[in-house]
Amino acid sequence: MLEKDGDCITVLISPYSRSIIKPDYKLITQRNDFLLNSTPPYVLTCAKNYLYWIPFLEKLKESGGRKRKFIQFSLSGEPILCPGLIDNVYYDLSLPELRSYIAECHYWISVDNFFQHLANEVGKPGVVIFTKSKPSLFGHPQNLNLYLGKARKFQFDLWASEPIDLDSQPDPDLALQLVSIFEDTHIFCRKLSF
Amino acid sequence: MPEIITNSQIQAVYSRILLTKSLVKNPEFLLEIITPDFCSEFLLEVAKKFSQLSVGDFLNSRIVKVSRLLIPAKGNDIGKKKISLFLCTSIEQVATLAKSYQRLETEFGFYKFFFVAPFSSDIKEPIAIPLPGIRAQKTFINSEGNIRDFPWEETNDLQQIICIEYLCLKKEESLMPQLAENREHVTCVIPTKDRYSCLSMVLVSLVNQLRVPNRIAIIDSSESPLDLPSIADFGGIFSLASSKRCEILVGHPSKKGSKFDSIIQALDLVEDLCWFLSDDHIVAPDALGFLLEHFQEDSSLGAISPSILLPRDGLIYEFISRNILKTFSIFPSVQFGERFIPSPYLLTGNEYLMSSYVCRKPDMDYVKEFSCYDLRFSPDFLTWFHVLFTNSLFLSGLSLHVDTRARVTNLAYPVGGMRGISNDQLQEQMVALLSIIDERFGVKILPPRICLTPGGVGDNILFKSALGDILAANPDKTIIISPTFPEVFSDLLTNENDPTCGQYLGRDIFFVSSKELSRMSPSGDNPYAFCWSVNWPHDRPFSDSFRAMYCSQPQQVPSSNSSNTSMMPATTANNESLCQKEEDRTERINNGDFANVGKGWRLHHSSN
Repeated sequence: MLEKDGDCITVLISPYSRSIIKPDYKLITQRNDFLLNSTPPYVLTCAKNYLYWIPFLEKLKESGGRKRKFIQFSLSGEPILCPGLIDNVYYDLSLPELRSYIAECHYWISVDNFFQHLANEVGKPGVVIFTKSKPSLFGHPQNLNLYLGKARKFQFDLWASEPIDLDSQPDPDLALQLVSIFEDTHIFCRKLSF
Repeated sequence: MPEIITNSQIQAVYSRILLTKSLVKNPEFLLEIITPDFCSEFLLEVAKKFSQLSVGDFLNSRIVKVSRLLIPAKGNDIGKKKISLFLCTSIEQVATLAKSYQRLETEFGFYKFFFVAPFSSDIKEPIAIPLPGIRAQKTFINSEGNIRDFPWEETNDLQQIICIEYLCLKKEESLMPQLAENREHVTCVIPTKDRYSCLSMVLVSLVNQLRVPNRIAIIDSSESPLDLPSIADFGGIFSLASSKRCEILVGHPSKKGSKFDSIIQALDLVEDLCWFLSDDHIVAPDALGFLLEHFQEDSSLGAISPSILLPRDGLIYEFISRNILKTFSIFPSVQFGERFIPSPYLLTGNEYLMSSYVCRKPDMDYVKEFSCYDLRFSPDFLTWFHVLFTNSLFLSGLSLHVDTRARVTNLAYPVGGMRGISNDQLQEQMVALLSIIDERFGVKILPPRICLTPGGVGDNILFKSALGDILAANPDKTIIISPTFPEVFSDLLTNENDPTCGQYLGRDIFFVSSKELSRMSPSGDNPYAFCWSVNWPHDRPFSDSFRAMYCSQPQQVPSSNSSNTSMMPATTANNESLCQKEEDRTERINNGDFANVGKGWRLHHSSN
């Protein structure tokens, strides 16, 4: 099971299954570069996935002087988000196995997929990156739900044909700030003063 | 004079063997291997080699089906018979089989492959088939399964190959499961009507059981019954049964076509154990042996049923193998769908059994109490006899089990048979009758609350999070869940080998496959569609939609045209109809109907 290392925060990562970008870091570190590039060499088939996994995780990896261990959960055949950032990858785990990992991690980060519901069942709070779906509908209040307010109008349609909307994707820097606060409150139990 | 067999005929038969070898693992095909009793040890090894399966798997995987009754009357070494296969005693029989093959294949509609080889129990040396080839010294197997060298034509046909392979197999230990000796007297009761061709196959499968039943009671309700012993085919069966100390009795009920009467008449013939069987059920050779094991082990056992398979797909017959009475008044829950087929062995509890099961004689006296229903419902009522009987055993604290190792193929023969008439009125009567019985035992049949969990894993998890509220809001309902991801609910199962029954917050819940439920469930029971239809507010959690759907009244219940089977009551319309039935049932009780129901019902067990 997961290591409970006081110097290392164990973070589970759950991208959207069957819709993971290819880890071409250079093209997506700069948002403008991405916009200028008409044929990005990666695949993003679901609008609920997070476009900036790689820059976000890179910034998060050792931010605030804290070391983090990233463990990615995916289905077989899916790429590792970024081999340099992800410490471990598990494929095709069963639900009991996933529950076990969730129970032992410090926290987790996912998009709006099954993972947040499973974590809710376990009772472990985490971070959910919402893009086109609404956290008020599909989220859980104990989590940090990152959401830019760009949800689509019809929330109960299929998501497969929904086009990817860059405006709905939370900026990695913003995400980093909020996740740091989440860590302070949930992992280190620090009192915040605004 | 025996007919002259030609090489082409022999080759035709052997080609069937070769085909069998390639097809034996294909579940679409039945394997038919027949042998006389004198060389069963040998053919057991051959069969094992043939199928490349373990003997246990081989016996479990296919049903021996016999079409022609050319079985020799001779039989020695009774008790040593390990498997029921047919082997021709002469080349003439090979010819007969070859000629009848085409007709039988057409008649029964499936593929059949005969395993035939010219051995004889009457002569000291085996008969060699004079096929052209190179003369060589080859190995033979005599009628006792011993091996010796004998000059033979080198033909490289399958028989010779088998002989050679058998030499290797002889070095191995016996792979046959050793069944404990069961001294209890077993009577097999078969009500039948106008199904003689089918009945002959059933009988052969019975007398070729590893543990042969002591008595077979055939209750023939045909309008113009035949004198079975005088018919050539049946004569062979009777002789074979006699050689195995199995008594076959044929009776004719006073009420023809009444399965209930047939059973009642046959009860007097039962001594220790009674095995009910339909006249189109072909039994695997080891079925009875497996079933009897449980009576030796479990004194609280009320009845045990084999798995009942459909011939084509090998799936357990959904409605017969197992049902749950709590959902019975509306529809059966499917226990073993395609994805739920138990492997390799499941002994599971039930609330009633149907069609084929073994029970004890003392409990059969109990059955006679049902005779009060005969005038009222016979013959239409009779398909429910087993339901009533076994359910009463269950409610009396006796266990009902299905042993999936014991297998019976239901040929669902389209002609003849004892058939009930299905119509709404009779089904309502039966539902009312069952309700009365359950009331006597303090059991309340709960109408179902069907919960669909479509979508992905997350939707299933969300539904599960709402399950507690759904249960609390439906205290008088049986919760039936059809999940798209059953794994989400795996921690709720009460038995890890049984993916259909679970428990949550002290309540029983049941799972059915989405495929099965789609045949009888409402179409619009989808949370996304529900949210669409009610314009679900976006500030309210989606998971609450499950609560809104399943915690409020009334639920849309399956429509009555949703492919209900004939044995299922047509009480699927709506809650109003259920209420109406309740009123009707109360009225019947008040009017004195079913006054004799349950009178004097008392189980007395010899083992208790």
